[in-house]
Order: sequence, then C-alpha cells, then structure tokens
Amino acid sequence: MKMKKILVNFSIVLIFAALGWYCYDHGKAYDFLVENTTYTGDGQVIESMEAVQVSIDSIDKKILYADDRDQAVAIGSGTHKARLDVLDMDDKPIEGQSRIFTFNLSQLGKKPVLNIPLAYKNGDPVTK
Amino acid sequence: MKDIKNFIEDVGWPRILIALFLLSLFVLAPFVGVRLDASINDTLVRFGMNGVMVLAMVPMVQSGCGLNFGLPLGIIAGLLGAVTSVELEVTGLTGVLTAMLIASPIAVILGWCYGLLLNKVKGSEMMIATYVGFSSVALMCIMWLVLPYKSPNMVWGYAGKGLRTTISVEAFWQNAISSIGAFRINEFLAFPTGMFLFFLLLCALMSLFMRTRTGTAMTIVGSNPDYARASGVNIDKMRTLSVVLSTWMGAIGIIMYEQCFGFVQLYMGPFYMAFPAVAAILIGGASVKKASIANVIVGTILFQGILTMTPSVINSMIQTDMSEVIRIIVSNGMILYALTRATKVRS
Amino acid sequence: MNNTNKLRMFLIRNAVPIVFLVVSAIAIPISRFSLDYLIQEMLIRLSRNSFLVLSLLVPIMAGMGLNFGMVLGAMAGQLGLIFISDWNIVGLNGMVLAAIIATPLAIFFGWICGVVLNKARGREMVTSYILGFFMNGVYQLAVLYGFGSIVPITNSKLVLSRGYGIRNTINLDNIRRCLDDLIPLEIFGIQIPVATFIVIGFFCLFIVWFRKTKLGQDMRATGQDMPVADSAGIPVLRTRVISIVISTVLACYGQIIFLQNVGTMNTYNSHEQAGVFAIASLLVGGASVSRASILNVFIGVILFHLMFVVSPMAGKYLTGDAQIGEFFRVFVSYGIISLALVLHAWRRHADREIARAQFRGQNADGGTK
Repeated sequence: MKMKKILVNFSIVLIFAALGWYCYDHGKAYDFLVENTTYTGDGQVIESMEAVQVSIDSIDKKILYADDRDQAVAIGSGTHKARLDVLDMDDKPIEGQSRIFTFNLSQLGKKPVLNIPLAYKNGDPVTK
Repeated sequence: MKDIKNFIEDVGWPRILIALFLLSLFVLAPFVGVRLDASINDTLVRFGMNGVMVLAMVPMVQSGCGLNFGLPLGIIAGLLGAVTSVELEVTGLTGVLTAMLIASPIAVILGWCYGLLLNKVKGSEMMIATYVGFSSVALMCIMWLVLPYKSPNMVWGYAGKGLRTTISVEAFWQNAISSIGAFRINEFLAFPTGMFLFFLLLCALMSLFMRTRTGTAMTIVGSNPDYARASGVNIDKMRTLSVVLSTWMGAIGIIMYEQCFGFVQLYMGPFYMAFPAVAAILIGGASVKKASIANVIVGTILFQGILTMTPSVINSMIQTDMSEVIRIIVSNGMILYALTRATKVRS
Repeated sequence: MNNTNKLRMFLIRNAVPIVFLVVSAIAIPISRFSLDYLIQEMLIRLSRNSFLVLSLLVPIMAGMGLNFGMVLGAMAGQLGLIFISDWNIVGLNGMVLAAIIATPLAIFFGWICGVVLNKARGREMVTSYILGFFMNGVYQLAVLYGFGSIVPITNSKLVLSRGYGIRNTINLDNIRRCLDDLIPLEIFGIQIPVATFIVIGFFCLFIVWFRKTKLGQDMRATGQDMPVADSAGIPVLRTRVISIVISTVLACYGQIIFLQNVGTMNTYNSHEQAGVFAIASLLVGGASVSRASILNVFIGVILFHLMFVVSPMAGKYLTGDAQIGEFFRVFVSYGIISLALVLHAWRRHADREIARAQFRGQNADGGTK
C-alpha cells in the first residue's frame, strides 16, 4: 500500500519534470540579430542587398534595407525556418527570388548574428 | 539556577531573544557609525509616541474581546479632534487638550456602537474588528473630502475644500506635551519628560481602574465568563465598557502620536495602525486573553526599539535600506507567534 | 414552514448578494456605462478571477474558514513568472512552465500555512490573514534583495538599476493572453476567452468529483465537527493541512491565469489584492464562512466586479468627484466582508444561544440530569 503511494507520487513528479522540460525546450525564445550588411569574411565580399524581407518561422516579416539591422526572435530549440524575399520598388516580394532555408541557432555564432547577403547567396547562414 | 530557569519560562524565549537582539543592536551601533545618543533619543520619542495606543489594547484583551484590530475607529475619533482643533486655530497645550476634548465624546459614541456590534459576534471579534476598522477608514476617506473644514492650513490649495492627506501641526501643538519639563542632554539627545509623564499617568490610571470593582469585573468577564454570569455581572455591559475605553484611548493615543510626530495623517494613514500596537503588546508578553500594564511598557520599548535600531544599524552595515521589510517581518511574526500560542496554554 | 417564512429565510440567507444587486442596479444607469461594455468587462473578469475564487472552496469545506493564506499561493505563482520571464519562455509553454516551477513552492507555502493554522485552532482566519502579511515580508526580502544577488537573474530588464532586486513592474508580454487567445471566439462583437473557460470548467468538475472522494468526504466531516471526525478515525490535522495545500496550489495557478490576462505584473502588489478581492467576491456571492458552493463563486465574481467597475463612475456622476467613487469602492469592498462576517457570526452565535436555551429548558423540565 505504501509502496504504491510512493510510486504514484514519484511518477507524478516525473511527469511534471518531463512536462517542464518540454515547455522549456519548446518555449524558450532566443534573440538574435539579423543584419543586411556587407559581408566580409574569409576573402569573400558580398554586398548588402537593397531591400529584403525576412521572416523567421513564419512570425512577422521584417523589412531590411541596405545596412539595416534588427532584432529577431526564434522560439524553441532545434531548427528554424528562415524565408528571405527580395523586394521590388513597392516593397513587394519579387516572384521567384525568395530563399527558404533551415538553420540551427548554434550556426549563428557566439553573438548570434544572421548575415542576410551571405545567407541569400549560400542558402545557409554560414559559408560552405 | 532554578530561579533563572523560572524567570526564563515566565518571560518566554522569544522575548529574551528579542531583548538580546535589541541590546546587541545598541552595542553595535557606535561601531558602524550610528550615534548612540541619537538612537536613544529616537527610541525614547517613538516609545512615547506609540505607548498610549498599545495601552489601548489592554481593556479589550482583559474582557475577552481579543486584540483590538479595530483601533482605527478610535484613531478616527482622534483625527477628527485633531483636525477640528487646528480648524479652531488653538495652539500649544490648550490645542492638544482641545483635540482630546473634542475627540473624547466621538470616541465614546463610536466605541459604544462598536461594542454593541462585538457583543453580537462573540467568538469572531478579531476578524470582524479588522474589517470594521478597514471599512470605517475607507468611509472616512470619503468624509475627509466632504466635511466642511475651511482652514487654509488643511485644505487643498486648488479647490479650497477637502482636507489634504497630511496636515502639519508644527505651528500649533507639536511637542506641546513632550516639552513640559523636558531637558536637553546634548545636541542629539533630549529627554521629553512631559510625554513620559503623560504616558505614565495614563498607565497609572489604567492600573488603578483595573483594581476597582468595575475593572476586576471586566477581567473576570474575560477569564471566566460563567463565573461572571453567576456573580451577577452583566457581561455585555462590561465588554461594551472595555471597547469604549479602548476606543477612547486609541483617540488619545493618536493625538499623542501626532504631537510627537508633528503631522496628522488622514485618508489611508490609519489603515494599518492597529498592527504595530498589537505586535508591541504581544512582544511584551501578552496573549490573546491576558494583558497587563507591564506587557505594554516592555513591549513598546522592545518593539519600537527594534524598529528604530534595525534600520539604522543594518543600513549602515550593508549599505542598503531593508527597514521596511524587516519591520513587516518582525511585527507580523510576533503576532503570529502569539496567535499560535494561545491554544496550547488553554489545553 | 409556510411561504412567508421561507421567503424570509431566503432573504436573510442571501442578504449580501441581494444588497449588492440592488446597489448595482441603482449604480449602473448612473455610471452611464453601455451594456455591451459591461458584458465584455464581466466576461473578462469572470475568466480572470474565477479560478482564484474557486481555490477558496476547499478550505471552507474543511472548516478552516476563509483562506486568507491564498496570498501565499499567489506569491508562488509570481515567483514562477519571474523565472520564466528571466529565461524568456514565451506563449503557452511559458505559462505552463511557470505553473510547474511554482507548484513545489506553492505546496511548501501551503504546508507552512496549514501547520501554522493547526496551531491556531479557533482563530484560523485572523492567523491566515497575519500569515499573509508575514509571508509578504519574506517574499519582499527574497525578491527585493535575494533575486539578482543570490538567485541569478540574467535578464537585465527585470532587475532594478542598483544591480539586484526585481523591478516593481514586469512586462509579461511573452505570455500575455496566451491562454485567453488560444481558442478565440467572438459573438456580437464581444470576445470570449474560450480556453480559459474550459480550464475553469474542468476545474469545477474536479471540485465536484473531489467532494465525492474519500479525502473530500474526510474534509467535509472534519469541517462539520472536528472532534467527531477525530474519534471516527479521520486524521483531522493532516486533512486540514492538505486542504490548505490544495487551496494554495490552486491560488498559485489562479494568479498565473490572472496575470496572463492582465499582461503586467506588479511584483510587490499584485498578490495583495488577489486575496482581498477573491474573498470579497466569494462573500458577495452568498457564501458564508462555513458554506460555499460553485454558484456562489460565479455569482460573487460577477456582482463584486460589477460594483467594482461601476462605482467610481457612479460616484463621479453623483458627487462630481471621481475620488469619492474610488473610496466608495474600497469602502464597499471591505464593508461587504464585514457585513458577511457579522451576519455569519451572529447567526452562529444565535444558533448556539438557542441550543443552550433549549438544553436548559429541557433540563428544567426533566429535572436533574
């Protein structure tokens, strides 16, 4: 009788802990920088783009003109989807000139920063 | 050895610990840069300021009505007296006495109604007292705005009507009683003789009253209601009398407080004022059913001492202001201890 | 008992909600609020406050009176929210995680409260009231001095400028309305937070089920007559503590639900109001210190908050001074608790007197015992 009670209590605690871990994992919001600046690194020079629209995990689209920076948020650990659209004169996305790629937050480096021109060129936030 | 043990049992460990704590604060003070004489001065002043309100707790505890959490009712009467005295522009000792004179009948009437109410709810007095106190403070908030006081010292500048939240009595009767026979020891330390005399006078009166037939009847009603009923004592009348007495002393107490402090605090000022008085008398060794004058004096010294010393010493020590939080913990902790102690003694 | 007697009994027993209804009925037209606005407001407040008030039911069942110690549960919930704000957990995940973190804290606080109340039998309400203040002091000590120094807080937006201690106001944007908007519904322009109501409904079912379990029955027996329950073999002290623990944990969740609706947390004030308003709501709904039902909860929340919303405006239009309306609201809140407590105590006292008189009367008739 007593053993059963201990077992039940223990499993309740386990369920709580597991649920807590799940929420932490899926709910933690990570802030990182998206910048539309000229990328200079290991020999390459990729110019900043004129006007581009960024959306991470389909949560609000941000418009970045040349040399713009902004804060972006990624929720949850694991991989995230990023969508880059080149914009025309009226700030509308041009058909056929969008890039969709997935990335891990760890790939963004220590700061963490996502460089748009680089990502657009390579389809990946880091150089291959 | 046995005598010491008995003494400790009588006094109770918490009180001894608090007394030791207070002593250590005084000892520590000079080492952390807090002036000892200024501290003693502050403690003395606060002792006199609060003493009467703590004394107000005694009648109701003795008659079995519990701790008077409804002290705000008496305080309101006192506030009305003080405000009216300022309106009439009476200064000095006469000013204080006028305030008390005006407050007294109000306090008696309020106390009498309050007593009638408490008689109908025997057993739940403390809870109801708290909320009746709160409701009346809130009601008075409306009154302060509406009552026809006109003195420019007290009303809001703009509209010309409605009383201000804090009214200064510096020009009227601040220290009117304290300064009677007061003498200065040095720059920081003055001995407010008048205040002590007044407080001790009230204590003596209370003590005498408790020894009269009425006073003893009141005590019996609290400690043994069946015996009281059998002896032909009218329990309800005694209880009401104790409530009236307590309320009246609350009124006198707040006027004493104001003449020391220099300010009259209206609106939400009296809201929580019962709690320090309750904590003080409990620290002094009283229980929910029994309180003596000694409890009042010892308790007020200890409680106000800690409230004065802890902030200044600890602030100097760790360079932070923890006074408010410590005050909350200490005062409420003491009340808790007393509330949880009561049943054990009975059984 | 004929019909007029029954009517009188009904009026006496439900005096408080009736008074409130009358006052509100008078005040609503004076306040010039539109019906639409009031209905929306009441729905919001129902979804926001019901859980907190429901948490008061269990201790009443166990004879502990009004659990002013629910403030401790609210504090636990707030501590949980501070943590998830620091760790930047958003959305429903954040809210659930806050609840999970706060639960062991709430259990601990509830246990302390229960043990203290057991030592103060006969004066539980005053004791829980003072305990609330005391724990408020401890909470402030921890949050104002311990957080940021002993407990590491990484998010600088939460910390005071001096380097330690949590700010007075915390923006809960990350979990704002996350439960309310989970299942949005709009009827005639009035928004209804469906998910929240589902949670509340679920909890009501839980209470109904709980009453029928052995633990629930034990609690009711303890509440009705402690010595009898004790001699029947029920572990009364333990049962009382458990009732307080449950109440505290539920108050913790209730406070989290409340704050996710409001969206901002007053670190040092939010929990204080929780206790007073919840208890006032319950009493307004017709509950007494020894008897409360789920119906009391909902009626009480609606009536109390109706008065709460309407009186400042009504006061303003009646007297030309908004301040008076505010004070009137405070006065009515506390006054209603006093009235309910007085009525309950008076009834209990009157019952005891009648019982005693009957006993004596019987004795006189039957001769020596």
